[in-house]
Amino acid sequence: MNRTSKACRDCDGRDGLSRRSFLRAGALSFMGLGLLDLLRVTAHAAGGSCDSVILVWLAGGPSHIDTFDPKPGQPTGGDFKAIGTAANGIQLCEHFPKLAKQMKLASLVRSLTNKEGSHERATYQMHTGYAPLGSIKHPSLGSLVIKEKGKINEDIPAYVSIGRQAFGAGFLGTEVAPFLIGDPNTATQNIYHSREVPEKRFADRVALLNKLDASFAASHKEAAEVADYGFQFQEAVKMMRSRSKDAFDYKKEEAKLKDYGASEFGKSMLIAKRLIEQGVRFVEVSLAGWDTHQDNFKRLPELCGTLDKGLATLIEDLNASGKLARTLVLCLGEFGRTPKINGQGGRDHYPRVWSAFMAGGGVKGGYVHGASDAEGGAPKDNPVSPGDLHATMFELLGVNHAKEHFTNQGRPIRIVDKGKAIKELMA
Amino acid sequence: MMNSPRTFAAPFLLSLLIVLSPARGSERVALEIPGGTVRGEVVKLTEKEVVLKVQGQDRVIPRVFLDKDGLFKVRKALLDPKDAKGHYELGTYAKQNGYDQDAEKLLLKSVQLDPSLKDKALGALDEKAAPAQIEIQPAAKVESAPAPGGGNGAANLSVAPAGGSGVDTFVNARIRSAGYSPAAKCTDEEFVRRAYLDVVGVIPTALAVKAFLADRASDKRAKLIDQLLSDERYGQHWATIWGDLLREHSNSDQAEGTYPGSYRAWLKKALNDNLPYDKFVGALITSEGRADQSGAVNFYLRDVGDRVETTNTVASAFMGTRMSCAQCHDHPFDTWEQKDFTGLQAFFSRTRVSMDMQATLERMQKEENVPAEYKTHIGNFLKAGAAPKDDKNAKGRRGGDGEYRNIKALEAEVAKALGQEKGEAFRNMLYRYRVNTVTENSGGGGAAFPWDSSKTSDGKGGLREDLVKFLVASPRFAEVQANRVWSKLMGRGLVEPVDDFRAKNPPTHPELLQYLAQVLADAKFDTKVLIKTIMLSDAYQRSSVAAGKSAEDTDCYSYRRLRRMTAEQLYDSIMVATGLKPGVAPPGAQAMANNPMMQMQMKGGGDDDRGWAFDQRTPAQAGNFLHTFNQPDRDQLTTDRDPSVSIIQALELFNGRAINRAVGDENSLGSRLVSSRVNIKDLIGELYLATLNRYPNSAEYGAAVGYLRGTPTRKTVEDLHWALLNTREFMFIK
Repeated sequence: MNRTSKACRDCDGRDGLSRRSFLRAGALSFMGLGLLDLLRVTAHAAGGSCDSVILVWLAGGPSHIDTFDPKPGQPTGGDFKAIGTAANGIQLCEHFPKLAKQMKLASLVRSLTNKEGSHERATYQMHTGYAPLGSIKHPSLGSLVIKEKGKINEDIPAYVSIGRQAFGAGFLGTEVAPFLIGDPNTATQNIYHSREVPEKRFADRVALLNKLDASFAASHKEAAEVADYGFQFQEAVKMMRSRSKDAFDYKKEEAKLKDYGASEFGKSMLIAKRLIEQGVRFVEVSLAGWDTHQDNFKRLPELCGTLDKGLATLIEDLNASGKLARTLVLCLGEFGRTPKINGQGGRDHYPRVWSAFMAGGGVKGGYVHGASDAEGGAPKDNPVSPGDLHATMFELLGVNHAKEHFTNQGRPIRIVDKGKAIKELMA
Repeated sequence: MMNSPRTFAAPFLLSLLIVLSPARGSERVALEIPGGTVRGEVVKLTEKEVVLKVQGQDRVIPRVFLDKDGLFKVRKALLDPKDAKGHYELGTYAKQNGYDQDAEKLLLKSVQLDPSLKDKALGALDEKAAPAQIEIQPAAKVESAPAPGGGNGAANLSVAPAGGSGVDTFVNARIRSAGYSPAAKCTDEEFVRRAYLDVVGVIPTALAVKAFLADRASDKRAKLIDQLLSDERYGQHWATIWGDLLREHSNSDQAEGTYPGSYRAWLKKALNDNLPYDKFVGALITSEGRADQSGAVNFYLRDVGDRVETTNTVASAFMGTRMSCAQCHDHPFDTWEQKDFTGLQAFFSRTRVSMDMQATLERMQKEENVPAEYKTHIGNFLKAGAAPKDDKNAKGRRGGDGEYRNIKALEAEVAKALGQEKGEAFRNMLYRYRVNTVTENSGGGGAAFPWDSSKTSDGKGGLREDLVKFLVASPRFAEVQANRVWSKLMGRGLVEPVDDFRAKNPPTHPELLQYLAQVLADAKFDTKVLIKTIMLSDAYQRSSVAAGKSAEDTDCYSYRRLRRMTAEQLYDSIMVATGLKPGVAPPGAQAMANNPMMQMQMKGGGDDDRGWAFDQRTPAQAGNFLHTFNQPDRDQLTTDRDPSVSIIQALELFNGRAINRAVGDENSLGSRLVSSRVNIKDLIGELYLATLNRYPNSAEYGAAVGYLRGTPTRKTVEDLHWALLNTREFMFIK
């Protein structure tokens, strides 16, 4: 797409540097140094109780009743028992024994409520804050965070997404797009020099490339996509030169897998921890399989077990290293599931009420915000919209979420459309 | 200058001195290879090379240096004058490739040598002739076709002359009124690359570029378009585009009961046969039977007969409308209501996807992986005549409950005879090899035509047939296709997104859209005519460098919109640029496309698979080259490739296996040039021509010479080729 437009509207007035001039500078120096200096000029939102975010995405929509909001004794309560946790008065599903031990560090929201009941639409909304709209590609939470907060570690990507798909930068442009890892086993694919092309030879190649790329770059310097590509290439070179890239390699701490679990998810969570330690700003890890229309109670014990190991160990490790205090861990899916158990022993999509799990980054420990009714069929008190949840995250990060960004056509889009941060959740 | 043929003709003196029995009266041939012409007697042809006897010495020429003509000459020269079958085979090849006169001679000779070949040979001779020039009909009478739902009003289109310039009348008017100036005409080098990528999805070879540049004919651009539209790769490239729209995939769910690859094979064949667009859509919508009989049924198998998915696909691909909102509630921005959705969906209420037991069992009988003991049971079962049509419970249709019960009986029999565990494994195999069939039963109702749900179909002439007739008759039908083709060739739809036609999202050039739709309709829905019309226009042939302040232009087409190659274009172009793939589809590709059993063995689609991107499984898995470069997941409805770029893509092109193997391969163009000891100037020229399809400018030439330090080695040439493939110029279609 050609992103050139009559006037640059993407200048937010604070960094005083428009995307267009930024890109033009990038276009001229494919892999030169010009852009690095420009990046430092960009001012970002300071303050907040939190620096980084890990979004643990439960794709498919887990049953809230069988995970974070158990309803023991109710006819719709299902097969699982509820267990007590380290936090007084808070119960979780019996398949979360490890998380139960960490509950003093975490909060729950049990009154999330929304209207979107299709995976695609709800997933989009929960990741961007907006319902899908054909003509506009909204930026994801991760991209918005990078746009507002910038990088912590200049050398490696600021936004990493581990899972099958990632929600991208939308109209914000590719410099805040996620680094997507499809499979944690191949997370280090292509980031190290090969034996045939060691560092010196690679540097020679890049120097030659810079010369051969020049004429096209000069004749097409107005084209944003050409500049975008140059930017990504430069980022890739930087990453290859950096020691921090080892964070992508879970094998460097392979022994830890006995706690995280040797599953793809366990490996992904271990990578997430390593990335946060190296100054990655936003990490998303997804765990799929929660769309349990059939055999809900046969499938959940294993899934919950996988989540329990990975999530609880992550929190424990971040807490031990002191990183948890400034890292928000947010875990949820796109909707909940019906209290009614259907004919195939499953539960169906249910956006009317569901739960989210949060820890660190300035969130209280051992606290539950809002509640669903006795059946788990509707919010009982303190209903929380997706916008409220997003606003809470941005406020913890010290970002003014009422700020607007402009689409390519110049349409203003607020960071969070409608939403109020939940002060009660904040420590 | 850069490519003086003489210097390149330096001997290909390779150590391969294969001494064969002297060529029996082999003819002298003149072959065009990169750098010039070689004359000699053909000694032999192998998979990788051609050996010519030139002035008493054997000269080895890599086969990929030959174009279609050259290869044909060689094969003709090698033909044994007594070999009837050889004459027949080469004759059919000649016929298929447009060497009509040769075809006649060869085929008649084959009959002379072996009269029993008479029917076959004469039949082959009568088969479809070589592709004719595509005629562009003058758009004389263009009636204004009001868009459904209150359109754009009548436009006076009589001013639009025929051919490409019809397009320009409307495009130029808007450029003028916006105050922009049109960019210069693109160069021949730019045109040949652009045309190749747009029509056949891959860059031209160095040889093709040279031939085009050398052609002095004033209509050479038109001729090139014709040539490309009749290349087999046309179907391959556009089947990839259709694969996105129809969500074709070959990593199919077993529930689909299909033959992996049969959908794309059907699409490719339909496109190469140039099935008119109305017939193409009709064939998909009214398809029946099994995937091995008609790949079109994959249209339904894809979603295992889920009507909601089918309805959404029809709306998006053929009606240019997004209906997925109306599936649950009235469309928020359009006049669509939920009842429109249910009315459209009802056209598929008789369409059923079910298992064809007989076909499933017959398939299992042929499968190597099915143990013999199962095959014995299956054989007995089939012999006993337990075929579905004999079953009373089948209610006169295949795939009915009767079959299900029959299968249960067979499962029980196997379990009883071989034990529970094997019974279970047998059941899994039944599922794995299941063959589904699409049938149309009776009943169903409530089918209401799109855009006006007060008009309903009684379905007497077939519900799906009624829908097709209605769609084809609607003016929107041709507009949607015209807009899609425009968008693929020009980088932006006149209506954008292309599946969002509605009153509040009007086309940027309403008259142009109607004009293009009319061109398509007048050509009896021959999409190639539409493609040629657009490609002949000045609008298509502009430079990508904007004139002055026209760089601000986003939708007036005053300059050529840069587009990044798609994942498939990029992958295939790397293969062609490094010479690892010839510029035309490999022989035998067609046979494979037509043979569903072959599809089963389709390669896994790893980066080390040197097939075309088209031959790899879709959707590509995470970490695969095609996935990295944004091949869509083929689950969600998409109309366009995600243009976003990422660090991962850069890393793939830096360090990925595909590119480094391509430049490092011993058969790679670079290493062939080094071992043929061609002079440095021609070496650099050849690499540029093969990769960027142009000669280097002096600064680039200097940089390359500097890097090679006078004596090119395999390593430095590899680096140079790597760098060229990593330039942005390679990645973007100018």
